[in-house]
Amino acid sequence: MVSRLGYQCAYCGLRVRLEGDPRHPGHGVVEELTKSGEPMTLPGLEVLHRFCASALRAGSGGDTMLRRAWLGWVTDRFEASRPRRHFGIRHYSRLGLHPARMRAPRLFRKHWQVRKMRCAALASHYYANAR
Amino acid sequence: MVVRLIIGWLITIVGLGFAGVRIRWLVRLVQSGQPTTGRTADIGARVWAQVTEVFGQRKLLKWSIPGLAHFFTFWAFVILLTVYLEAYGSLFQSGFAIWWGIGSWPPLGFLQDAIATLTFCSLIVFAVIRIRQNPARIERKSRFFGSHLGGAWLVLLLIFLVILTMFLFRGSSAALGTFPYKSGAWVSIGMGHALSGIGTAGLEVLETVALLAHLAVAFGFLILVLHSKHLHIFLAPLNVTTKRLPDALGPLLPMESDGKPIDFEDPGEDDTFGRGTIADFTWKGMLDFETCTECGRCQSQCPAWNTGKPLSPKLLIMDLRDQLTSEAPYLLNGKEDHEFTALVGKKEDGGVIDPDVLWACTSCGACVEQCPVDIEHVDHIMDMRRHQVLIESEFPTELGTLFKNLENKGNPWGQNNSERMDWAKDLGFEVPVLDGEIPEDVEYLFWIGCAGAFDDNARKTVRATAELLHIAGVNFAVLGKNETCTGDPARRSGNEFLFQMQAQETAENLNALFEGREPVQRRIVTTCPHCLNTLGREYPQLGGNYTVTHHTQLLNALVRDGKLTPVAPADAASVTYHDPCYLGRHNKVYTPPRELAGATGARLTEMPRHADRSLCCGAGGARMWMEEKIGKRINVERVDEALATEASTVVTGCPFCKVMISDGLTQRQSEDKGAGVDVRDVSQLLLEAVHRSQPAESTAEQG
Ligand code: SF4
Ligand code: SF4
Ligand SMILES: [Zn+2]
Repeated sequence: MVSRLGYQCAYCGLRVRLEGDPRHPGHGVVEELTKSGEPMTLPGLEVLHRFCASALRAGSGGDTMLRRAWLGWVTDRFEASRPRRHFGIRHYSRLGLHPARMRAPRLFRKHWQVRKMRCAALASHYYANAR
Repeated sequence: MVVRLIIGWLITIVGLGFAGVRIRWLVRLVQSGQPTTGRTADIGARVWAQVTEVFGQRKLLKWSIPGLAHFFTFWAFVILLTVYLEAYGSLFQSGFAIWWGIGSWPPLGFLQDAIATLTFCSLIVFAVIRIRQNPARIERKSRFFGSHLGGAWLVLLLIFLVILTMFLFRGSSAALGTFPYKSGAWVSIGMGHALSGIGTAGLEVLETVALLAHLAVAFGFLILVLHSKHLHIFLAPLNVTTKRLPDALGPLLPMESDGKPIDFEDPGEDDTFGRGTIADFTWKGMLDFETCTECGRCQSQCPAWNTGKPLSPKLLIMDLRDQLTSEAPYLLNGKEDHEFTALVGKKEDGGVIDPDVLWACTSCGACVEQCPVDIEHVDHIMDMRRHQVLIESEFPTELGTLFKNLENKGNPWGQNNSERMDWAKDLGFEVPVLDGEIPEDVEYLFWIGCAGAFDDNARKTVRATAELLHIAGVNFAVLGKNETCTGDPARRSGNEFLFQMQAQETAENLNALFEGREPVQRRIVTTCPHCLNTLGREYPQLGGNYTVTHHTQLLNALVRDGKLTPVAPADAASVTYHDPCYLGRHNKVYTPPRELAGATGARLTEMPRHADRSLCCGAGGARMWMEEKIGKRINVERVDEALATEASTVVTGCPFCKVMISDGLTQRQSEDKGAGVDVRDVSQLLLEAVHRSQPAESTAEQG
């Protein structure tokens, strides 16, 4: 059905996970969003992804697509590092890209946009049927 | 004889040499484009396109006078090849005739002379058109505004010289008695009589000079053609053969890089996203640019150009061609080290296509419809928009709001999904809302669309249609608040990524809904031509196959089957019908809405621009969501045209057209024009007519 069952994250609009590893960046947490200043959220208790809650506290901003891209990136990192039981979300704002390590700095912008789409697509799919 | 043989061959060798160099350059240039797929499949249809469009000149003949003139000129090129064969033969042997008796067969002589004469008349027509359409005098109103004018006149002159030298050559040989046709070739033979006063020696010189001049003009013409817009003589057949089938309207193509569709979940970081530089275009794009004849048919139909905006599809293609030429050296050798110029940007910043040009397009498809050589303007414009949005993040600020609304709320208005069923309030009967699989007895999914759900004006259309379906006993159901935007506004504004996100989700959900039904049984009816186009013709790209019908098509069938009985009023109202671009040109639905309007007893007066030449309302191509700051507003232009028909009602079949035309009409009415005129959907007219036969069941508000 064309329905949006489950809880949507107040920050990125994707569904949250309520089952499985609670350390998962997409796991649902409940936060009080009185000071967020976000037009899309009303003051009060909101459900967010664990990662989105921290990004919101850090004042990362960004449009919805970028928020989803960040979530997609950290989810991907989390899944990749799971066997090693180690997980860090440093550099999430750059989606893991380093201008200095690029063939040509002018490519950064393009690669960043492409990475953003890739990560956002990944997050949208990953969380489409989350429960 | 020997001298003329030597000179004849010299001309040929030099001419062919120059032509060969140029042809090789052009072939390599077009081959430097990116690969693309699906351009050779379905040979049968391609051969048919060749027969109708090249040999039959179908698209040119849409404009009768210039079309006919071009028809004769085209066929002259084909038929007069036999004269060139005779000319070459005459280099070797005086009085040469094509073998097997063909070369003395009077009907061929007649045909050669007749087509040459008709072409001569065509040249006069072309000259008159060019003088009347002189851009120096009528400026933007001329379809030749911005075209290369000098070259065009030169070509007319050369064609004239081809005909003149041909008749001099044939006339002098007729006078000398060496002309192979004894009858049939009436102009040549007549010319022979006229020249017979010159003595034999004089005639021999004249014949040789005319023959050599005839060959020289041909090669001069060939070289000019290869360096000018007249390249279309050779490229048009190629371009028509490799066009999008059936045409470059309707669905947009999926985004491709290196000839393969882009997978947004796993794109290559070096993939090409849309077209940011000339090097990003496919070979078909490059072939398009080189094929443009600068005829300006597209420009003359473009709503943006006709309302004073800087966009002209012709100038856009010409600018891209100039850019292709200027960066050709790098495309041909050394793509790697060269940084290609970013296409979209202001002239002063070195841009090729001004952002105001790129974003003015309503994707109405009038240019594609008219182009005689099948150039795919809309695809190129959308590809450049895709690059601007996805990679450069540069787009009109209003689109930022649109994207946010689509991402957060799933509709362009930014309304809450919970309001999606508000249109059905107080309808007088229950509209079934689906939750889960569609029950077997439900025939149609009624797709409401975002406009139908959230726009007050469009709600009336949806209500009228629902009521008509109810009266006709059609078993339909809706998705209610589970419906989301199909993705059309995202796609037309270049945000292919967002479109993919939205469309994939909707297609997956629709597939689940119709689980177990064959595509022909997956019936959807909608009042929105944009939803019709996206669901019906773009979703197959994502694995969603449904049979999508426009409400005017379904209602028309119901009237024909006697399930709805409209009753004409005592005094027939006069109406004019505005063709929505996405219903008409993009999906070829022209008659059902007109028949429906007729069935209600209304008198239909057509606007000058209607059916496949209809003028856009200004909302397509996501222009609905952008401000229109330059020139006259397109919707006002359209309203002026509608008011000139003196119809009391403007009917249409698209919620966006309805909004735009209503807005335009409101503006004119505030200026005391068009008092008493209103704008309705065809379904509203029909409902009113049906109510006349059963007044008791009336519930839907009329407006
Ligand atoms: S699609 Fe319409 S608005 Fe766009 S360039 Fe073509 S004619 Fe003009
Ligand atoms: S794009 Fe087509 S219609 Fe427009 S000027 Fe060129 S050939 Fe003519
Ligand atoms: Zn989130």
